[in-house]
Amino acid sequence: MKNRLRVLRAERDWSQADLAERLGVSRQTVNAIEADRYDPSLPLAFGIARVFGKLIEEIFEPGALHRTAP
Amino acid sequence: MAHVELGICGPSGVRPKKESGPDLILMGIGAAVFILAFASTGRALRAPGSSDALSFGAVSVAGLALAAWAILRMWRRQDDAALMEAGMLSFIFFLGLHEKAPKGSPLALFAALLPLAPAALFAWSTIRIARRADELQRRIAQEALAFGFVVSLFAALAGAALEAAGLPRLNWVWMAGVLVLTCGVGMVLANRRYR
Repeated sequence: MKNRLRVLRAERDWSQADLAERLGVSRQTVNAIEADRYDPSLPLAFGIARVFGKLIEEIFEPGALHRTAP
Repeated sequence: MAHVELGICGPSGVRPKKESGPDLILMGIGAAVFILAFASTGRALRAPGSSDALSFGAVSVAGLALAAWAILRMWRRQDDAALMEAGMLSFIFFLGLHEKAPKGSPLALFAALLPLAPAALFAWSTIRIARRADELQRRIAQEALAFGFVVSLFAALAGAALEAAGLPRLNWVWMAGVLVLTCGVGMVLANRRYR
């Protein structure tokens, strides 16, 4: 799943640690999400959207689906 | 929320707070004094006519009190990482201490049960750290534990097969060490995946 976390964070001049503090997670987690190595849970994705004042779909966009519908 | 780093075999604050450094050293000094004085107490008790046991006993109690005081300071600071390290270190220090006391004596029983206290401290702080971990850290810990469990299981099966094939009997106490080691390797691998 692609995301615009790094761009949005840079616009606000926040460090990864700043964002992590706001979200209540570790800096490692913010880094992993930004690097597309980890997809956040739904509650965390809502938390990210709330912190940036945006909708989830304005931050995250779906990548290739692992399964296709029958 | 405090940032929690990942340690061996679970999400664990492997970085104690800076203020806890002196307390960890104090705990080590207290434990060392206790062990040395305890061993001397045991020797004095075995030596007929020796009156030094009381003095050595008092010194060992003082050492233990110093270690306990240092742990209490870390407890009040809620430094789970430091408490985990203190628990692990003092557990290792106190293992085998019962051999220094006369066999079957109350002192030997006390020394045999003593490692349970730091083990409980280690378990309690590890669980608390795990509860405070965020979702990625929990996933990393889960992957590390899965890796450690599977590899240890195969190591145990291989050991049993080798024994059945006629190789010398293994000391299965080392399986705990194998589990910790493989979990540590799993943690390194899982951390690398999400770096």
